Amino acid sequence: MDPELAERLTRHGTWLDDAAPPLAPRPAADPGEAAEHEGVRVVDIGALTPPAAGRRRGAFVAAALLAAAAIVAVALVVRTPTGGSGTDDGSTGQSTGLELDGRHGDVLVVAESTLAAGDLTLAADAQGLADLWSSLTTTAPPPAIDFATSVVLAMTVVGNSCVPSLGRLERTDGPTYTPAFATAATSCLDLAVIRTFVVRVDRSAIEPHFVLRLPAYLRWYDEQRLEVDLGAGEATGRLLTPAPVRQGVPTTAASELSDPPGPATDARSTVAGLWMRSEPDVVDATGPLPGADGFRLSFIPDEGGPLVLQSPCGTYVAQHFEVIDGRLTIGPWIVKPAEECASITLDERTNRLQALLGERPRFTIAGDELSLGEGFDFQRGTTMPIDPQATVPTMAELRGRTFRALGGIALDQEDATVTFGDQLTVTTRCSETTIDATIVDGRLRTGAVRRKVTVGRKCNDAAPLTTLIAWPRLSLQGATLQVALDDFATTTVEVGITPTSTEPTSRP
Amino acid sequence: MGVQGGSDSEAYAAFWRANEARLRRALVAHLGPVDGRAAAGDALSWAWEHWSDVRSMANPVGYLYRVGQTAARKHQPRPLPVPAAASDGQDPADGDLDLIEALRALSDQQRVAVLLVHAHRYSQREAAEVLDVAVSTVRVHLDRAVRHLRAALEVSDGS
Repeated sequence: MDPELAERLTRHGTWLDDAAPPLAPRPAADPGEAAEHEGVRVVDIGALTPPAAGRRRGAFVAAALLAAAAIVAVALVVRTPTGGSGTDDGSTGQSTGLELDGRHGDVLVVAESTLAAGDLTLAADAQGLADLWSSLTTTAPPPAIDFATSVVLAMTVVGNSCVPSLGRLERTDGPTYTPAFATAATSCLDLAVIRTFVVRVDRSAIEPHFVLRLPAYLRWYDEQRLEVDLGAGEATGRLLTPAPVRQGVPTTAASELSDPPGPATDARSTVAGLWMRSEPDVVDATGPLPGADGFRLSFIPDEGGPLVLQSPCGTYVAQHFEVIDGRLTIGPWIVKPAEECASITLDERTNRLQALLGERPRFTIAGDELSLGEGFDFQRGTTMPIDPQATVPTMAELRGRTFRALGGIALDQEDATVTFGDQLTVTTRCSETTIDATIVDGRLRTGAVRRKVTVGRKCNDAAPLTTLIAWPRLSLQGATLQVALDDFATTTVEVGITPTSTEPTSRP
Repeated sequence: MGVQGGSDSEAYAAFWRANEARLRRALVAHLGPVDGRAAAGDALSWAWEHWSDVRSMANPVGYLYRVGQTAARKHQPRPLPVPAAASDGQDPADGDLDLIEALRALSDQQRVAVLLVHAHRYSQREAAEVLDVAVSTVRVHLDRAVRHLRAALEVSDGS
């Protein structure tokens, strides 16, 4: 075959793969991030039984889950909630470290806690241990520790319904100790659970100066490092990294625009009065594009993409984009065509659907404006001002920053409802998940989870499969229950419990 | 080729791993990215619903290709989209517009054959299995498809 034709066909094949990505329930993430997702995406194989005839889409989701679960189960080295790695049998070869089986220390307790995910704590005396213990849900009293010979370390991580084991602290040069979690579980609910592992370590087994390290975990926390000094004076632990942010709290200054809450929407079947809001409401960088009817662009400052452009005929999603030194870099676009749109008239020109879907929008940054680029030729030169109050104060602060779009991808705000009555129910366009959830003494307790997937062609077109199967993640911050709806944590619905609640919720 | 043994879930997972890409690509070549991908999902769903039957088939992927085609007929087919601009900000490859038009002019089987073999690098035997035809038939489709593409795109025979 002619080399030029062969090359063009190869390129076209690549483009087709990009336009129709694999039917696998994997998040569309960076390669590095995907590995993390594989580690936490554990599904209940036992629950996947062949569905009744005629429920094809449900079967498809189940089939996708099943295939991915089996594939992951076969191929995956078990990864831990913190991103560290271990093995099913706990064997760790020749690596060095502290064995927590009594030889160098032991695990005192593993309990849910109110500490922030990523928190590292040193307790070198009884008071420190008591303070630490008060953050745990355990009702057992703190154990008696001889702090002359031992110190206590606590690591707070995010996991799912399965509790991993902590058998050792791996040692690397520095010295630095990193917890090595392991789990052999294969059936876990992917509800985010904050757990604190409290361990006792013999002073004789550990250096006077060391660093306790917790690897970064997805979007929950960056790598955490606690510098511990057990020298002659009072033992101290000092975080070398920015303290982790409590679960559910926005991690950027711009995200803090979520307060005060927006206007209330009607709540359905609620015990407490609710208001509901999706984060795009608090993002002033979301809005219509002037001169382009029906087009909306949304993003907010955060640590990564995506950027979402909604058009009457489809939604364009770039999972990642960033602005560095005023230069905008956008990752590959994913196009989600609208269901019913054969043509659209813009600027007195009729663009066929294929033209709309074939052209990916491109943007440029000029001053404080984000402009649609030349590649998007049917709307050449359209710009959307970036509100400096809402996004970043000055252009200078754009530098080195990345942005994340919220909402508008698959779970538009009108497509996701959350009700909190006897149970908490999250209803999306494609699924309904019911969780036995109660708030007791300011703490959220979750129980059984049931979900019904109502899948159809519209769902499949509109949402990545991961969205259809993702479990809502719940967190309670004060009087606000936060429900993260998808695997990218890019669509978040906050449910605030108003003062008019008929069943007041006590606060921690 | 039948499905290997093992439990239903293991066998289905193995089948998925081995055939999802080929089935999806074949249906995408036939129907375009949106409907082709949806049809592949339909076909794989159907496979799970009827797994006991599917796993005993001599050529399950070929059968599912037809299941996907049937499922797609229930929906309005979309035109094949125009290739996108490169994601790195480079200009779109204008020649691909011509390629799309040329591909669209081919018969479905010619288009699927040429895309599977020359765009996705499957062997002629693998393409034949998806299309549930003989390898010699695929060869004929390829010859005709390439000839049509050369003529439409006005490229010379590189041989």
